[in-house]
Amino acid sequence: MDDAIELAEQATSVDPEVGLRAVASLRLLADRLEELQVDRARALGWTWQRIADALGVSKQAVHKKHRRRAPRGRGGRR
Amino acid sequence: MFERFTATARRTLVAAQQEARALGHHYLGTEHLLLGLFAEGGGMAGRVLSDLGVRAEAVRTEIIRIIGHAAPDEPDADALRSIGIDLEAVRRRVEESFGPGALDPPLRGRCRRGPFNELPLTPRSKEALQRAVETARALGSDQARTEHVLLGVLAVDKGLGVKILLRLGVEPEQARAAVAREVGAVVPVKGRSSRARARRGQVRGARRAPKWVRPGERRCSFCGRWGTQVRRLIAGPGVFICERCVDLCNRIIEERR
Repeated sequence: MDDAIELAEQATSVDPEVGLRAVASLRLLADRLEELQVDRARALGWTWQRIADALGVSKQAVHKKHRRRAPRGRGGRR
Repeated sequence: MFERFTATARRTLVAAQQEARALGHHYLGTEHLLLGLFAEGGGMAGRVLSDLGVRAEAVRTEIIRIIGHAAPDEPDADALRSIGIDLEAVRRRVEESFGPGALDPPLRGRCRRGPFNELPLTPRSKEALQRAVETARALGSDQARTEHVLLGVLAVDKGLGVKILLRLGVEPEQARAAVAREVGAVVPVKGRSSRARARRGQVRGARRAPKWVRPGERRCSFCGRWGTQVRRLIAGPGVFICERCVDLCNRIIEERR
């Protein structure tokens, strides 16, 4: 039974239609997780620099992408 | 704007929004207005359309054929499973640390939408709704009913709503006649020209309303209240805004700051 499912999955993942949809979904999921984590980090008072280091991008990039949503917590300046 | 529609008509507008969202569209066009009229308990317009042989499913298919699906804004669980990711498991873990619903798509670009997070109207669907209200008034009704919304959609020749009906073999004239039969009244074929409406201070686009229009002939471009119904109406180039809408805007800006 499990083998059958696995086979079916292998078969479908060769199909670009499914493969590409999987990539798109993965990107959506990653973006959403990034938003959640950045929001939490900001709420905990992290600086943009620290978040950027963790994500492996520049602080400008992080700031540009997330500033609208995530004001700094704990009375941080805005 | 919405206070000028009956509860049923409002339901069809809400349905139109849901249809647009379900299609992944980020705007509300006349095609969505048309689709919304088929909503459960959608009133007379839905009945008229059904009687003309128009089915919601056919309208939806046409929209997809012409515009297509936009990118979905929710991950596809089946697609993810094909690469070994269990979306439900991810969801459970995320909700453990971030609370229920954390993985749901965030309300994106809220600022660009209206105060109640509705999708922005296209110029044509805006015109259709204006026509709906005007037609309602012309037919002696304070609030626009579903059939007026349909007439509004029909009045916008260039809108996708009309184009789709034509593709499904329904002439706007035919639909108008069907509404007239149901209502038992002569339905105005065309409203005033946009130029005439601009002259009366019912603003469209950047056509400047002349200075000499009286307060009773100016209306807030945001909520549609007439100059006589508000305490203060502030004029901008081609638009007016009433004090209530200014307050609302300020509240929104403050909240989102």
